[in-house]
Amino acid sequence: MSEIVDTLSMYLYYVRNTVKAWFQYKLDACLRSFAVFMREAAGIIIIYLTLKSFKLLNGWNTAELFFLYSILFLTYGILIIFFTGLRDFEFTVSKGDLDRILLRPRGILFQVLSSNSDWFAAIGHGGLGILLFVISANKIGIVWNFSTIAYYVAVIISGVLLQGAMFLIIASFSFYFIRTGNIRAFFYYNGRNFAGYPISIYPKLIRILLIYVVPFAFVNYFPVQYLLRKDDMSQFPVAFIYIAPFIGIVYYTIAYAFWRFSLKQYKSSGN
Amino acid sequence: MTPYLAYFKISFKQNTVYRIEWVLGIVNTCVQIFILIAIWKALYSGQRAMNGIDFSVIATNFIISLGLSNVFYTNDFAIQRKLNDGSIANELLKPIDFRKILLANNLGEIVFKFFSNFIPSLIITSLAIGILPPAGILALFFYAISMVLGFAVLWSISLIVQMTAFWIINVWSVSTIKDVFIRVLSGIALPLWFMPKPLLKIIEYTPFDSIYHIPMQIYLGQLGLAEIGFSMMKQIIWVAVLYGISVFMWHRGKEKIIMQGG
Repeated sequence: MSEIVDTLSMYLYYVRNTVKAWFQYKLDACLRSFAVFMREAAGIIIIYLTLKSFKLLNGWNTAELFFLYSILFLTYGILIIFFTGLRDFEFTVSKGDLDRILLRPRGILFQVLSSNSDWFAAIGHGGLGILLFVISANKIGIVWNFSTIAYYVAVIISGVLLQGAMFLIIASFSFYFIRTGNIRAFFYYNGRNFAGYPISIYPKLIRILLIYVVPFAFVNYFPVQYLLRKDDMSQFPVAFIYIAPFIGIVYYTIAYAFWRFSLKQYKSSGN
Repeated sequence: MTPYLAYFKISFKQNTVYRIEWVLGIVNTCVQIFILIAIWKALYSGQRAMNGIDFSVIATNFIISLGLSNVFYTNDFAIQRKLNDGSIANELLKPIDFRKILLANNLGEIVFKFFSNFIPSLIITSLAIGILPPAGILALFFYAISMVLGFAVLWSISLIVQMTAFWIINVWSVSTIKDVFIRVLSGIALPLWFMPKPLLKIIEYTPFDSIYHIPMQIYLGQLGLAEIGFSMMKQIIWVAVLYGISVFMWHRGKEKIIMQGG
């Protein structure tokens, strides 16, 4: 009899430990998601509190700024589902895994893109993007009909392709054995930080960088201008807001060409 | 000759790698400052002062406080790492206080970053944008003390975060959330003179304005002598309270691992 009690109590002990461990793990996962969400939301909270005192930033109010920001988060969330592999590509090269990939019968880009998906980042950024969109989309005077919705969807896809192109170009540098982490951090993330706000607040040099070098202006600023037509748009060629949905695929094609060119260089140097 | 050339090349490359990172670090700090300055220039829309606060005050706040925030590094993960690889046992056996070692390490990093990151960024941004000088020698003197106290507050908060490693798996979440609070509430991204009043009232009862804002007020000459004394007292009290909490957690944490037969 005492044996049964013994076994039972030991079983309960294991159960309790398993539940504790499982709960700790879940708690940790929840805390982690919350932390990522808070970290990305910090910029939003700051802008919200700042505008309580000022009302407008270059003619843009809080809701419009949220809408501008939301496109960055949304496109990044979608981007990271597909392009995580490219983000970490320099590690693949430095670890020597690249040659293994080249030997396989499938295309290299296909393998790189399908190898990894940072779902934490995707859900964190995408979720925040959706939240901001939901908060702001009805407050900024956009009439959501077929043409505006179609434009918006096209521009989101274009935005993802634009950023994918940036990742592709930066990853291509790995073929030349250049450490890309700092370059990506420098160009991509700084560019994105700048793009959180209407580019009309920046001096000419920054605007040129954001339009021609790291074209974040086409990810969110010009698309939103198509929908809102704010006054500060007069400083830029109107054509920009019409080419925004198409520039993604153009840029991506160029980036892909550069990728294949760099790959050829890598292969021909005896790798 | 050639083998020595190889060593030279390696060492040179290593240094250039660090050099690139060094330059990028300065650029990143400057970019952060420039973005905020651009936003606030647009917010001020050409006016020299809003609510009695001159634009140059805002610029100075960002250049100095935001610049310092990139330098005031605290390693929130030191204890977690020691716990994970078991070396915490060695640390507890040593006669030197582990936490003092941590502080010494961190201070080394901070002093290095102060000269390699803060000073260059300070020069670049104040040439480009314009910074207010301290409101007098006395102000500068008290500012230096207050800035050290501000870091002490930051360090004490970091100690508390580190201590949570004894109880939760991953300190990263707590550390990140802590950083968010500091970024939003301490005045480095939204100068506290423009914080909505209800929130500002709450912040004044937290340690968050003791880190960067109080020193900044002293630097700018916004406080009279008595007020300076009062504010620094507040900083000291916060250091004491937060450090006390961390000590309590340290003892509880030690008990916990000793009981687990470590």
